[in-house]
Amino acid sequence: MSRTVRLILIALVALILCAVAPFIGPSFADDETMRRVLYTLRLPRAGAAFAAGAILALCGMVFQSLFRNDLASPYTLGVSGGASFGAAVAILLGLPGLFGIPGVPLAAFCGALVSVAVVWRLSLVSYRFGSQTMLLAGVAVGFFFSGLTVLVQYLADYSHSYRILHWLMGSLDSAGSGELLKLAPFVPVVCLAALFHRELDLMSLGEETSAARGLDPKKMSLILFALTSLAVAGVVAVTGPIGFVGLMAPHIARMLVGPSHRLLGPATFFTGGALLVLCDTCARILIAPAEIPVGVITALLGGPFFLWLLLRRDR
Amino acid sequence: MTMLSARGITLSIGAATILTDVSFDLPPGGILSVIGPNGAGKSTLLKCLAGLLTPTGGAVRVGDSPLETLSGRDRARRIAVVPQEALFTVPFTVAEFLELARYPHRGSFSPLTAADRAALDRAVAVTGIAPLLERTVTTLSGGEKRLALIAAALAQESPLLLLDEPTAALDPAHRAAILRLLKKAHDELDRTIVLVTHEVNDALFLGGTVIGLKKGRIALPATATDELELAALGALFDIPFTHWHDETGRRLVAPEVTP
Amino acid sequence: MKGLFLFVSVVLCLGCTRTDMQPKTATCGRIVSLAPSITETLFELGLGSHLVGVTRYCSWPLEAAKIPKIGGWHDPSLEAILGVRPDTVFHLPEQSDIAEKLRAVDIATIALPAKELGDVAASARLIGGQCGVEKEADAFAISFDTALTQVAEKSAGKERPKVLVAVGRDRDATGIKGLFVAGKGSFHDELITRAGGLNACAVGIPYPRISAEGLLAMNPDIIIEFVSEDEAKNASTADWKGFDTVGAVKSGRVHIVTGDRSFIPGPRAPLLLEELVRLIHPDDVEVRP
Repeated sequence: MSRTVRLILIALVALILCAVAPFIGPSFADDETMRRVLYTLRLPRAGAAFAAGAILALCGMVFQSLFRNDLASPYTLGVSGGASFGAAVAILLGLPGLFGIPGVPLAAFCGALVSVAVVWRLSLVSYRFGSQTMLLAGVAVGFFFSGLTVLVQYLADYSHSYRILHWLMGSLDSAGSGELLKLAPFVPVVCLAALFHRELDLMSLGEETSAARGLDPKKMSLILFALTSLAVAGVVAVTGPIGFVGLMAPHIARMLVGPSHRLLGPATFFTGGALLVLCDTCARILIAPAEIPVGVITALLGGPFFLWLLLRRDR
Repeated sequence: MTMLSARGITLSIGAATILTDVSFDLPPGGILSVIGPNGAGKSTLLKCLAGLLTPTGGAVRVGDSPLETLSGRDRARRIAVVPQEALFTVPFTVAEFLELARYPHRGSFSPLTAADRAALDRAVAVTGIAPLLERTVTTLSGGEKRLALIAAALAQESPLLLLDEPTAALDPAHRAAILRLLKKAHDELDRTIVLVTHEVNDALFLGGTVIGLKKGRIALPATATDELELAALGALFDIPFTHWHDETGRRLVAPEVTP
Repeated sequence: MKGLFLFVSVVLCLGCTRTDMQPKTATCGRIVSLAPSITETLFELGLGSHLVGVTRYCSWPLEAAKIPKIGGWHDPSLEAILGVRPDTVFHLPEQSDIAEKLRAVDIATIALPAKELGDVAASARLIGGQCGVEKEADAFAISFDTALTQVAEKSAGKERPKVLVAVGRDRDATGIKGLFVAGKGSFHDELITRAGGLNACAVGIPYPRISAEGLLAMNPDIIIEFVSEDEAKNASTADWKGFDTVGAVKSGRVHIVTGDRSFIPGPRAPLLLEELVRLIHPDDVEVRP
């Protein structure tokens, strides 16, 4: 089967999944309620899950290519650490919102951007720009902000830490189309990053090779990091840090359509979206009417997948 | 008219000075072999010539243009580099890898043109890499990887070809194949070649000019390969050299290894 | 959300075993209490003046607020406890970690379960035995149980409406999001049942998080949202307007009950229960001033 055909199949499966997901779950005898649940709750929720999954997956793909590291994820640069710290502070202090955006996602967004800026600045201290320096700086900054988040949790009383804990688990629960609307602007941002498919191909060959082919790896990294970081910050702020989708989806897509980013980009987009719709549907229905945090589902799926990936690579 | 000229290239990183006042000129169609012991700064010099490192002093000119005034794509259209090693961690096919060499000639979103395909076909034909095209680069042997890197540099169709230790760590057959290929690139494809090597015989085989680099300075000024003296080689490598001629009359050199 | 903490304390009690019920010494002297429910019971038994240390959550009765704080429910400070030189420490069963350390320095520790309403009277009797106030304890236990029975009688035989007890949600969200409710096996589940209601949430998790559609699916007849004093200003029944297909919202039977006592399985439970009965069966209970 040619790779293009596989990409078309992935897109079809993803779209079918999105269309079917809202119909899965307890049904309501009352037609009016059923309609409301479908259109105002489940459909926007599936849309939000797809958007979040697709963004995270594409960012994961970009990071894996830039760092030439299979284990890179959208959170490798400490974005989730910064966002979590921002959210924790907002929850603890009850920070007010601005421009109609509630305080917690706003603070999480700012936290994410701060952590990325710190990582970027740190990586410039090194003599030669190196994505490996950036990777290490990202890990260090991530740990630093995690430490701060734990400190905030420790200082907070039990109820606030409980809420921070739940924020950290991530959720796509929505009371309407609010989440989808907040995520939507970040979809074109991340798609813009994926349009640089040839540059991504080159970057994955290493900085020297890309420079020898006439690409400015530093400038390209800056553009790609700016776009992806903005998008990840947006997703984390709205949904909390949902792990593993950004790590898994690019690998699944790579197995299906190969490493060339022209096909890999769209394949990752649809795989990531479909994966999170699937996980969120499970989160919604497994113990309905209660919810399982979607981050728990992705982690339970992602952990074993991760191990399989490692073992397969070392074989 | 020179194809490539270096004027007083100096490169310091922190307190360390890697290159000091390196100058030379290379006419179009020339071959320049930079020889010297390990750690002399040969590879660093090659990176400065390729625009991958910016010297802290001096200037590199390509044709009429100072190197730093060229855009990345412009530079890549004039200079192709074959690194000693490449990061073949992503399982691209050889065909995909070669196609990326056309990057400097293409817009960000334009498909391959007829000119691109013709360049790729020429590179494949001259390197004989056709049987490997569908293989993934991660599965290639050392010799095959080197061949793929040279094929990509040729597909880039830049008149100037820079190579870093192109025969290092290869078995005799692969080494010979690479040397024949470079000769062909020069003779048939009109490439101007700069290579860095510590295999003096590679330089003698390719002909052209040799310069010797030691501790970041030119220790052996530009010399035609035919006129390379054993004493100069001995001084450059700190070991006496001997030489002989094979049955075709080609001159070969080797260090005198005393037990 | 402060309330949520107290629920968690209740929830965590569920799986605990009673390991150290036997007092080691016969006198209680200076007392430290490690839970709000225990503090309240001690005051009910007239032992308030013996209290030399309480948690920072112990705010009732008002005198309790003046007693030195020895930390929180989940993070009591051993140093602070030793600093007030107690003879006896009353604690919840799941605080056995710190109890062990206290016993090692010869301080009497007594675990008082707080799983369900029945435990309040039992706790009082244990305290009575420990502190030599058996009579008072007996009297309190009897009146407490009587109060419970009387309240329960008010709703006996009546039809049981579906009641949803909400105990926390994302305050900064627009509309209802991140909703936590009382599930099976929780303290509030018992309250609903005793007040003549049927818990709308049949999930076997004490305090599960409910999705928006889950709320629609449960379709409770009555929604009672418990909020702590701190959060009262942020809670409004108007927040629930978006769920107008839910019976409780449609009929205007969404109630917000403010007060930390809603989260403490202690001596004030009959009052809380009475309020619930009033909200669940409004026509049948005389309204108290």
